[in-house]
Amino acid sequence: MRIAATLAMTFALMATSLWGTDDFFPFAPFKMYSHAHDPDGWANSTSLVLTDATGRSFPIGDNDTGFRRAELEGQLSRFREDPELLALVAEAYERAHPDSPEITAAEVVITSYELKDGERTGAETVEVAAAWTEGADA
Amino acid sequence: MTRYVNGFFFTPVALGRVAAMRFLAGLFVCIEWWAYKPFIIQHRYLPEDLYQPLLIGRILPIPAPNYWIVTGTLTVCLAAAVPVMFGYRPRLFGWILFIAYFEWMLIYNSYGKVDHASFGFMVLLLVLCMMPEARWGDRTHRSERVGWGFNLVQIAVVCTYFLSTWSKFRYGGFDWANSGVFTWAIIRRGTVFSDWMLDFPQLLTAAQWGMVAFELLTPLVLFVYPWKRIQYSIIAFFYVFHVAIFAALTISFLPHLFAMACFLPLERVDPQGLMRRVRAKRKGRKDAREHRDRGESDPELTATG
Repeated sequence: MRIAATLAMTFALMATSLWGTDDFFPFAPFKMYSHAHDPDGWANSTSLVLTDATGRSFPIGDNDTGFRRAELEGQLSRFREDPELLALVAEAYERAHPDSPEITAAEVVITSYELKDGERTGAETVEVAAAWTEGADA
Repeated sequence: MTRYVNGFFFTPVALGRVAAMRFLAGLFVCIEWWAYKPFIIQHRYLPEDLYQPLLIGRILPIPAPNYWIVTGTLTVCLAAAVPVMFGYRPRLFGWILFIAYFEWMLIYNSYGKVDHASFGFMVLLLVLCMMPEARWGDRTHRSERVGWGFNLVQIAVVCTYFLSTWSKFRYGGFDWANSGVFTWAIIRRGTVFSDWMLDFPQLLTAAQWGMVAFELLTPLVLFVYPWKRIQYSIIAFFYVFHVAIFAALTISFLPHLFAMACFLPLERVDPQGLMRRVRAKRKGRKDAREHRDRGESDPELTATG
């Protein structure tokens, strides 16, 4: 019986590792850093930049809103389709920082670094993947 | 052969280790929310539209986290972790802790990114609920059930390494080890200990091959169980590996490291016994001193007494 429990856990993990997705959490494939990155391609780094009512722009970290960079990247396609979602992130920031000036704009900035044979060539591109400004759609 | 297989699953483990692991598990829960993953509690500010429930969150009637659900879950976790740590009604509070912590993990992982360092730790919380009450340093009472439980955690820990290689092949292809993944990782989260490596891409490729070899070999640590010294050395190597990864990328897999501690003979740690011995020693020294003082001040008394 107990051996069966052990084997069941092991096989469940193996199966989801082969065919499953993160959705089957806690039995999700252990895919930390599992994606290959082309040594002759582009490496990118995403950041979220907020602008407040005083006109100050600043990138925010994982703990400022609780919405992590990796989560932003995980939901990036949603943000590309509907930049209005950034209003939610701005809202979260305001709730977490009730004493700070109001957030009026937010954008997702992706900086890409070119790699050649795994080394940085120094070339960079900066893309604004999604942008939102308060009241712009009204 | 039968004995080997039987021993693999059911080698009895001393109850002292259960007390030590309960302490470590509770300790981790107490540390995690403010020092290790502070963004989980920050999820309380996120609007529900950013919540992306996992399969289990859609099957079970689990509400979308809001301010009070997140705060409440943490409160229950902490309130249950303390009695578990000190062995007070450890099974009852263990179950409460396990359930609350599971919800905590759902809050953690339901916003577009699933992390994979906690599986072994969740298994640990679960098996601790099924183990008997235990005292620190108890090496005389042994239990097969405890041995089985820790074996399950150990398998989960090893799977975290071994199956992550499967994932690398699955998502990254067999060329993962030749790709620029470490360069990418260091660009994103490099430190003073690792940034210089960007100038040596061959070194990083070699490290990637080393990583694959290492992870594929990890199941050995389970199979060498009859040879404890080898097993402990391998575990020591794992810890060193994680220190190196932490120095390079500030990724620590902390819950995994706590779960992995169940490989170690923690039943040998006995804080109460240690205290008692220290106290006895101090007392002994004091007695001796008093004895000597008395002896020096009044030799006749000592002689007659």
